[in-house]
Amino acid sequence: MTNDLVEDALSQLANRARPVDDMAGRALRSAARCRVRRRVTASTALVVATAAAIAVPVMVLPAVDGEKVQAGPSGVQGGLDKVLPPDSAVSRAAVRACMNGDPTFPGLTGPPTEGHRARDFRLLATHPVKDGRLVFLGSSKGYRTCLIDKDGKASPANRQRRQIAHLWGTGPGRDPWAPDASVVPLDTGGNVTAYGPGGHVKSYEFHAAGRVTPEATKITVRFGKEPPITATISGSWFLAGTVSPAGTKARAMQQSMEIKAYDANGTVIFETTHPT
Amino acid sequence: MRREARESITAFIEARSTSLIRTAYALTGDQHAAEDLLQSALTKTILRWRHVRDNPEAYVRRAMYNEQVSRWRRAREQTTGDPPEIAVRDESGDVDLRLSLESALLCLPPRKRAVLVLRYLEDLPEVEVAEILGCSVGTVRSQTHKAIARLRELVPGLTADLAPIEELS
Repeated sequence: MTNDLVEDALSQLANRARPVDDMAGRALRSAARCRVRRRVTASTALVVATAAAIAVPVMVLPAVDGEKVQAGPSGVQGGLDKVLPPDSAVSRAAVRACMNGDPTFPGLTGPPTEGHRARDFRLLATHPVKDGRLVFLGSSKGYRTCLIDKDGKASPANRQRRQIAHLWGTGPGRDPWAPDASVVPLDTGGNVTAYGPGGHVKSYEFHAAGRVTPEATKITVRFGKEPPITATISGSWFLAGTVSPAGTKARAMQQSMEIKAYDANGTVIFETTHPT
Repeated sequence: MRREARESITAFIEARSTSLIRTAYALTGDQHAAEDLLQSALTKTILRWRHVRDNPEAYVRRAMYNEQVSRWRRAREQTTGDPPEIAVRDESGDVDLRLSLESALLCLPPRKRAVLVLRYLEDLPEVEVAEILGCSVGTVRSQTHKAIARLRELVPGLTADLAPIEELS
């Protein structure tokens, strides 16, 4: 009897489902986007390596007054340490909101050391979005982005324990970004920010964050066919982003991203489009 | 992706999407959420096609159940609303009973609902249910027991129509 009742109710429920048009096409496109994201993540790692090898020593040299910057991993970490902003109350608040425990670095084993702990991270740049702000955090070892609401609380997806951070300059991959000395995109993409009551995605955030040299005075980022967003440049770092409800617009924004940098005369000195 | 793989994926989805969307709807209770869930599960399947092409449907179903439970866990953090109102059974007929039961099913947490969907809609044996959900047969039994008990709480008029819980396992 119970079996029949439950089975009947479940069947009635399932019967309300409407057939989906072109589910095969949708799934294939979604899988293709996932593959592109994976490739970009791997490629970004190589860009970071390039940045570490070229941009960082260049930026650090004046500070050390002609002294040679050490080569190898310790040189990279030491160099980045010098361009990280100083600690501040605002920085600590952002790190506290976004780091529920020390972050996890994919591929890194062993106990956390200097630069791996939450307390080692600094606020590199912040960019206003609807009902909050995006933040770009970094330490001498790695970086991550995070969405904070107007009350200073991280989005639910950012409140999980041991958030993932990415190491500077590690990982395999090719470089589709054609890196330029003036702008080096490091962290680009999007994340789910909220889920609805049924568990479906409610909204996404899209962002582009990276390194910038003084010759770039303005950076714009365009997600999909949306109007360009002017990035916030904060010292050696830039960050731009936006939040969008799930739907057609958000899907279109996932398809492409364009970053342009301008010098003081308004001349475009860097331009990249993803996917290329 | 090679053309043959693309063609076999398309053929598989076109042949099975009607059945899969029904299952997704029974799990989510909402058309958009069901489409989103199915697309997510199919995407994962396509990305692992070389490994799962012998039995892709099993992988899709497992991905759907796991994804739905994960989504619910994430959503639970931010959703603290009251459960949907359950229609009180009108003694006049079985239609009201069925509607009440459907509403009550949607109030169950996804894991409990998943157990009932697998057992009663998909008609799978407990061993397969346990394998899909990644738990023991004992857990499947206890989840079924608790799910039915919860249905009885949510639809008080249902008690008389339900067999003793012991009969379920």
